[in-house]
Amino acid sequence: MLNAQKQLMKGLLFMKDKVGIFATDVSDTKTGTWRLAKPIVNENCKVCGICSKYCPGLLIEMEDIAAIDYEYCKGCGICEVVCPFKAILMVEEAE
Amino acid sequence: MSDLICKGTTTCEGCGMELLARSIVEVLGKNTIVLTPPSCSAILTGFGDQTCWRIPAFQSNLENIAAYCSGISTALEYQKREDVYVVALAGDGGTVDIGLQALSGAVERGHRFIYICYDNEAYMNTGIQRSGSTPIGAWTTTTPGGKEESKKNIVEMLMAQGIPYIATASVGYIDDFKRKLDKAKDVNGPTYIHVLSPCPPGWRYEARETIKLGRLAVDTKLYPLFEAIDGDIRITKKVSKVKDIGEYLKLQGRFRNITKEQIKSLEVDAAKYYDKLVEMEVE
Repeated sequence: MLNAQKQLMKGLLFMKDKVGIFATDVSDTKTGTWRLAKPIVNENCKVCGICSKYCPGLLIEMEDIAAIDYEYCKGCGICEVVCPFKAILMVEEAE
Repeated sequence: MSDLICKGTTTCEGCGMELLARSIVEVLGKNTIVLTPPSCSAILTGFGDQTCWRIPAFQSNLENIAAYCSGISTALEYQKREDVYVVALAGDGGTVDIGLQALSGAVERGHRFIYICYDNEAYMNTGIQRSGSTPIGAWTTTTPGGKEESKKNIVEMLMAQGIPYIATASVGYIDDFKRKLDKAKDVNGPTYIHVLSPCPPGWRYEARETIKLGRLAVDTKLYPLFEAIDGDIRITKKVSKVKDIGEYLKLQGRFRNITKEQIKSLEVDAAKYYDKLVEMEVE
């Protein structure tokens, strides 16, 4: 069997026990590759949670310090603007 | 609850609508059916076999999203599923221009659904064409010299129809929006929330300013935040110290060629409308 046919068979077997129409989600689109500037959290962070509330992708989790998911962060810089403590600074991405 | 929309959505960087969509599912939870017309929100409903939602979503046509809401809402009523919310997430073009007759009809028939319009003040998804919601003096590809007419007031129009709950909100004050949505979800009838959602490529500003512009629009009185329960108006964000309108305009490239008279008319109309709301406000 050709490789493409094998793939198709595999796909059909996977679909067998699923009922109705289903769709896959887009999590494999790593939007982090779009980024031109990277937000870096510094020691001014008070873990207030304002950045996590206004991040369009809700990609900031409040741990000991704001933790940003760089895999998906598009680097818009909203977190830098809304932070009242200047705890997030945008740094240009290196090549 | 943020995992009800997956990561990796292909909206532009700094998109106000994406933040709004994530806030909606955060408030309403997983028992929600979302409808989107062809618009930027259709990016979330997906293309091919891919989708961003992890709750049931439906892609309607541009002119009839509210009619689809009516149908789904009636079916749920028949099945006695009062715990399921029906939400439409439409842009300003699909609401104030093309989708207006369906919306007006659905409000008149009184179906239970939540209609959220994210107002980015032009047809952004098709490449920045003027809509009824575009403000005076704003550049779009179809108004290269700046729009000459002022913005259509859809909220007043629906209030005239006697809608049980209607509110305006801004992406810049996201907690205020969440509070309003929380109120809207318990209303047994049509509800409408009009949300100002700045758009970086369409308004010609840097992506980082989205929240700042959302707040400035409110603080300059251009976009008053209020809610009306059964027609009783309450202003939810009182503007005591008015910010300079120029500050809001100069951040945006689309207002580069606005004339002095147009700025004056924006200012006068905004102040007049705000005063009218204060006068109508119920103590």
